[in-house]
Amino acid sequence: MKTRKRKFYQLQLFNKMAALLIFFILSLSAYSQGFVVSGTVVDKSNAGIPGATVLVKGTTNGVISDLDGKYSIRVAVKDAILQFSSVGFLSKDVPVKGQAVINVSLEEDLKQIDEIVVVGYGVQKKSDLTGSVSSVSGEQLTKLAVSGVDQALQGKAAGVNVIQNTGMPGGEISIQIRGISSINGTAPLVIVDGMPGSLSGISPDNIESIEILKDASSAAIYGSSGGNGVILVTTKKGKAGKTNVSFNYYRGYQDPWKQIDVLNSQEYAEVINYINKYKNPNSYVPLTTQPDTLPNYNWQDIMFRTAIMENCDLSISGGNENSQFLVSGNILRQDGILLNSGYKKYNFRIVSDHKLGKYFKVGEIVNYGQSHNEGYDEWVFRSEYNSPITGILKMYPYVPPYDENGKWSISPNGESNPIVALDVLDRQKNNYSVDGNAYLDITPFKGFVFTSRIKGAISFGVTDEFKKVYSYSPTVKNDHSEVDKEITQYSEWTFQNFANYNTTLGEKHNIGAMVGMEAHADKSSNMKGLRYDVLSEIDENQFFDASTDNSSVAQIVTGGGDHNSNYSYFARLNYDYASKYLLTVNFRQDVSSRFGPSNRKGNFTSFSLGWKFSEEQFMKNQDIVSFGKLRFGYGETGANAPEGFRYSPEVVQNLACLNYIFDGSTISQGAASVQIANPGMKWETMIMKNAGVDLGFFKNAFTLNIDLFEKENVDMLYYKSLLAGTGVYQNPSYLYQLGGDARPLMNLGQIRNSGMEITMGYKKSLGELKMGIDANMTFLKNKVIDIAGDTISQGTTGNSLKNICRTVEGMPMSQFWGFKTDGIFSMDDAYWETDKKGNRIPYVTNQPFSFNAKGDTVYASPRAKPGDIRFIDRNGDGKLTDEDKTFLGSPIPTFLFSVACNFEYKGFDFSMNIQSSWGNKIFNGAKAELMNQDVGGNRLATVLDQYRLPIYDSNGNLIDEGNTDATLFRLDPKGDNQNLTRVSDIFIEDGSYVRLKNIQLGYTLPTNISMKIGAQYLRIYLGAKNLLTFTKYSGFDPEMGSSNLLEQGIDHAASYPQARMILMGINLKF
Amino acid sequence: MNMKQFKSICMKTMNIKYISAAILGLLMMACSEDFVDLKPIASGSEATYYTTMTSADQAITACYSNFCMEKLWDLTIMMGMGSIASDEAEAGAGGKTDVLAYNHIDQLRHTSSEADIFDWTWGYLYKTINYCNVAILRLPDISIDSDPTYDATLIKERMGEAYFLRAFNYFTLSQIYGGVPVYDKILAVDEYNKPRNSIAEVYALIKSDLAKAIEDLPERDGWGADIGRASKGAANALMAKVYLYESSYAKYYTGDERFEGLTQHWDSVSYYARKVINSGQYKLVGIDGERFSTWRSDNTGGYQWIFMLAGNNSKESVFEIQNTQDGQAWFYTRGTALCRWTAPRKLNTIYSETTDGVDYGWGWWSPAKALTSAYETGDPRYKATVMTEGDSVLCNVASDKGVAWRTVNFNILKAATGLNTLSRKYECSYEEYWKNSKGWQDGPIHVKLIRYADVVLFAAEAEFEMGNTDKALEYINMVRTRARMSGDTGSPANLTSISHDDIVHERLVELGCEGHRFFDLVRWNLATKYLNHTLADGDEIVFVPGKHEFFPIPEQQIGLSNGVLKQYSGW
Repeated sequence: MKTRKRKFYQLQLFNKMAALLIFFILSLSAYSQGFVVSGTVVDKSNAGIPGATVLVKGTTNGVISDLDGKYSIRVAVKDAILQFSSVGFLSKDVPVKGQAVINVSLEEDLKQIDEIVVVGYGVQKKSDLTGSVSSVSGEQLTKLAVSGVDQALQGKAAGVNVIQNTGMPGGEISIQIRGISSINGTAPLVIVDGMPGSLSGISPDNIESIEILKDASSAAIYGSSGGNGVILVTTKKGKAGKTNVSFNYYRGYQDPWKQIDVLNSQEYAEVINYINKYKNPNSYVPLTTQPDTLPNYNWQDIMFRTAIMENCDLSISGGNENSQFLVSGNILRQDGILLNSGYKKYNFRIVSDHKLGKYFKVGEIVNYGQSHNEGYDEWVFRSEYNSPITGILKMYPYVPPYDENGKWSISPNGESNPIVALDVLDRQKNNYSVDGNAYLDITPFKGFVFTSRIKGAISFGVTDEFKKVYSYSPTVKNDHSEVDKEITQYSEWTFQNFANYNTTLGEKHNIGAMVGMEAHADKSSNMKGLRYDVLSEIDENQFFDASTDNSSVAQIVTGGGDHNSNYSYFARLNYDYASKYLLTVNFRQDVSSRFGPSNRKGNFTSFSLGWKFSEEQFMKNQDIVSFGKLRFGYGETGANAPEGFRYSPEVVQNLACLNYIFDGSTISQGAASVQIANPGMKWETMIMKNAGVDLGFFKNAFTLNIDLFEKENVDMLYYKSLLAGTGVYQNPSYLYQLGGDARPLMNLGQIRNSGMEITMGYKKSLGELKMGIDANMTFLKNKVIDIAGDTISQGTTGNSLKNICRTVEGMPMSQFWGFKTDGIFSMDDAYWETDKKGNRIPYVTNQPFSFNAKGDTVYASPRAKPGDIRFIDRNGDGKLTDEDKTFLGSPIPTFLFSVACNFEYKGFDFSMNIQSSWGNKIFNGAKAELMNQDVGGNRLATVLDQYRLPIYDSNGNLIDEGNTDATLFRLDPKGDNQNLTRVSDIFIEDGSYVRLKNIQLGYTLPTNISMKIGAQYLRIYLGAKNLLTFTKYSGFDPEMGSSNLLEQGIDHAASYPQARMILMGINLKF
Repeated sequence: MNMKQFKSICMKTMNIKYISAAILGLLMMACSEDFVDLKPIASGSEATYYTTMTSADQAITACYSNFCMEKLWDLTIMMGMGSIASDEAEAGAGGKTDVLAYNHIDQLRHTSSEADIFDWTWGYLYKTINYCNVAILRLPDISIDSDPTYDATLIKERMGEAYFLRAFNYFTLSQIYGGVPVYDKILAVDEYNKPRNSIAEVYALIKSDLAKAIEDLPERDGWGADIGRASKGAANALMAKVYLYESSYAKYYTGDERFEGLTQHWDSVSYYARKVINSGQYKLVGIDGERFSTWRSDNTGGYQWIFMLAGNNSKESVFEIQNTQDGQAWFYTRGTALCRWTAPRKLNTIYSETTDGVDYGWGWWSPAKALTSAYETGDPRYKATVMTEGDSVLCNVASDKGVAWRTVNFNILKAATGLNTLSRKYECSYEEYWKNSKGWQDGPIHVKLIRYADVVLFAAEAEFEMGNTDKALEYINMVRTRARMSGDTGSPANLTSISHDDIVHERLVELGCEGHRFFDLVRWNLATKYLNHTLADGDEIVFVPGKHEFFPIPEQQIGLSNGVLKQYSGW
């Protein structure tokens, strides 16, 4: 008791509020009568089991063991039975028989498979599942230094592909579960504590467990929202027993894991001198005659930095058997490795649960989140025109960042010094969100639970940007200061009611039934304004009301809004016979505001069957296979329309592009239907088939799950291109200004994903060495079955490479499309010609040709020279036309593989995660941008290996020998052969990689040492993220995503690179 | 299981049924169709929208709106197809690889996949036609019952505008693409896949629309402040132009199946042109020697003045795009991109000794020798159309030090950019545009679509073709007189005799860099003669007869039609 007091005293120091709460809660249990039983709950190695539940059987009276496994419980009657249970152990009943001390040793539950998993609107024993569900425990997530839960899911489950689109702190993450099943997006439904939500507001430290529902039989209970899979997040709740304080902190140092090899000043001079000679053999001007005197600046070193990432979690939890609470806070700060970029996130959370009498249980979660992004928006890093990265790579290696007066240096050709944009950038994006989720459980009799939940959430996003006046060069300047502000608001509520009933009829008929309803509505709006010419640039004047220019011309305000509502009814029936033969039937009806009155309802049904063959008699006489189950599932899920109000023609009046002026000054407002409506549009329906086997060997030390699946979106909503005569035309780059996509949404598409998922786990204890290895792999095939015969061409990079990706029926989405090449032309293919200026130039004749009307020979590449790329004339017509283009590869990986290992030995623990992606190609747009410049700017170092023609002046003197041994296509300042301005396979690279994503080595101090500072648990660790990457890809990073599914895999030489991080951290519990 | 157990289970089940049914039933009552029957934010339903006079105004305004669509009429149709494709001008700008589509047109190397220019001309013109079809369908439904302020005359005029605009867009489509599919009403979405109509069929609709427009529309003066609206004069002028094209095609392309069904109607050209000439609404500005005070000079001649900001909606304007400087950016602005595209580029290079030279223009649209050498000595139209050696070019060399604009000699620009010339029409002063330009495309100068001088030359050509040489001379000399009176050298003198070459020449120098040359050469079947030549760098420009008269239908449209739309042979 002495130590207890001391601890309690310390706790007060931590949080008086929490202490008050505890007083309150403790006082609740002070009414109990009877006598006290105490003791210790231990495992077979005699170590205390913390957090074990000790329950007086048949009552709700229970306590939780402390960190040493000690417990103390008041028992009313002497013949009571105590039930001891803990996750991972078999529960044990012990009659009290008047004893005051009962020490219990629990046996480990070797059927790890038998854990409880959260499913839609309920829980189920994992061994009874008939659908395809992957579970990830909170523990697995906290050992990763990540900025969000979505990132933490990378590589954690088979069939779940988590892609970090760029390395920008706080950047977008895309999640694809079982492939790309709709052109309209792959975002899975996220359910947090039973309610639709998002992963962004939760800290990984708050996660108790995550379940990923992948197939119809598991996801169909979410009907129209389940088509892309469902991520069910369960957050931590308070636990009865001693009040726990836990504190986690880490600090990491991030650096770019890779630099792109560009020319140094001397190499640059060599290349430029060659180019100048080539362009003007008779009077070329060298960049410098003394290249050795040029200074060297590594612009990647200048613009990237060692950036700090730190994270701090603090949580306090506790309670008694009737009321539990958890209060937690989280602060994350991730500076960007690029100057002037960074991300901060704050979370605060209160969770509590209360039993009210015998029948009722209530609880709530209140969450506050705030995030702060500094610097550019992520889209900037997808465009070589806007991205500072492109500027960094192209910056002249001999130009310093600042001149001797400390001002920005001017680059020789007037391009912006990349430091300018980052120096003047003053942009903050803040998001604030509050959500609350409350529930009421009613248990009127055994097996029946009625649950009612309500959730409300609001969020605000505020982006502030200030553009100050500056003048760097004639082209890079800003004459008018500018205040930009954008505010977005979002609010939603969800209300759901459902009842679960579980019972056993006879001995062996186990029945579980669930029926319920849900309603949801949300509303969003945004307003954006800008104002020029502020009174002065001080912070206080950076608002709309402080402009010197009050003419209407200088003020622009735009805005918009959207709202949605839907409601649903759903039901599920689980039946099993003797836990051996399992059946699940799901039904859901969804009604959504996004469809016309006759198509609002969508019905989604699924069936699944399971057979636990390891329960059969014939399996009992062996000890190899300890668990075995076969699963089959078939069903439908769906997807809602990607936007609202596309079912009836609307006339819009608020588009600037519809306005006109008749009298020279007044803007007349125009109105028109800018979108073609399709009254017949309806739900996307995804038909999913799944067959799986779950196996456990050697007392489940080794587990293996294999799932085969096919998922077919048969009614995919698709923006159907129509002939211009229908009035549908729009410039795809300006959809927003034109009032959105004009094309009608029609249920024309069909996409199929099929594949196999394998998950393996191995757990073993060898004395004090505990090890666990988990591996998962996914084989995936995507095929577009039907897009109404269309060919979708998208994807642009550089100045002239367009329509890089093509989506057609019969192929996977977004395939690269262009010319095939067959090496380069050699000198043997050429004859020398003297041009008008008297210079000797070799022209290639050994190439495709045709004849024109006059009978002259016309070469496919009339200006090709040795070293130029031999583009293949596939149809043999002697011309290089679009008809010679073909498929060049797929950006979609066909195989994903991840491994996670954990070892524990005495106080030490070691873990690592390896993640890899195979079979995908990347279109290296950096080549187009960084090898193909007729003006200045730096280039990729591979330019040195390029073929170079010998150069003769007009007197026939050889003034440059060139480099005719090279096999890499020619350095061609004039672009004669369009080597880099035709989309071809020279840009295509293998994007496969293996990455050591996380590695961590920790040490837990023995309790007797940690107790000296009052801690019950103290672990320190060292770790690294992105430590090693193995790839053939030559660009910044093979791990990249695209926000547009129709143009994937294009690396724009603009992307924010991923960081490598070394970190150290501490975990503390009091 | 004994009976008692069974009973108890049944009872339980019953209880559950009742309890859950009661609870859920109560809660589910709340969900009705109304809950999901939402109305969009900030828009109306097409079925009920067109009931008020305001809706009529808004529907018609939308029909005009695409005239301000980014780069459409100013850069692509006028500068690109009408001018750069011809011999009068080159693309200029950053050389042969800068904005490839325009350079391909310049060198007649364009293909149907030149998406940027062909997709959006075809697309936006049909989009406007669709707006017109909606207006023509819906406006007659507006009545005194639906709007107490109903004004029958105004509705009639609005209908006239819709007919004119539909005709104007179809005519432009046929200039660019030849025969195109005709949709004269709103169809079901799957009824739009039709093959090309013949040019004769397109013209039939245009003529019928223009006849209605001529009847419905007031004269230009009748619009009051709304001077930018289509007028009776504009409809007559367009009708004259349609007959001019029809007559030329019929005369010069006999036996060519693309032009089947077209006949010569020179009398109709003359008839409608004279209606414009005799309306008293228009004037060749400067014909009386009047001078204007502008930022360029206190003594600016009429011919130059009409292309300056002050010349917006001048007496010479029959129909022009009402651009404005609204300070807005891409796709929002109602201004023209021309002012920036055609301003000099690379001045910063010239002033590289200082750091504050300004590269404020992009240097597009460089008049070529065919145009620059066509002017008679002393013709003031030369200096008003072409910036070249010896000229002063407006540039800002110290923008951050306030207004420090000065004029520099074009020679300096030439040395820096290699451009020999730049188009001068649509030139803006610092005060007019650069000082307040917030968006890059918000030039305020009106792009002239139909200019009175053009109509007078229609008349001259028609009279010439009908053998009325005196009449023809009278009209052509009207235009030459105004040119002469705009300068001070007495040139160009009146013609005393007239030939077809004189008409070709006069249209070139009077309408230089206004987007007529390519279409004129085609209708006269003179493109081969004038366009074929070898460029300085050895590239050959070859106009292929039977192919290059019209631009290819965008590849994407051919694809969407599943082959129902077919290219003319050669493409």
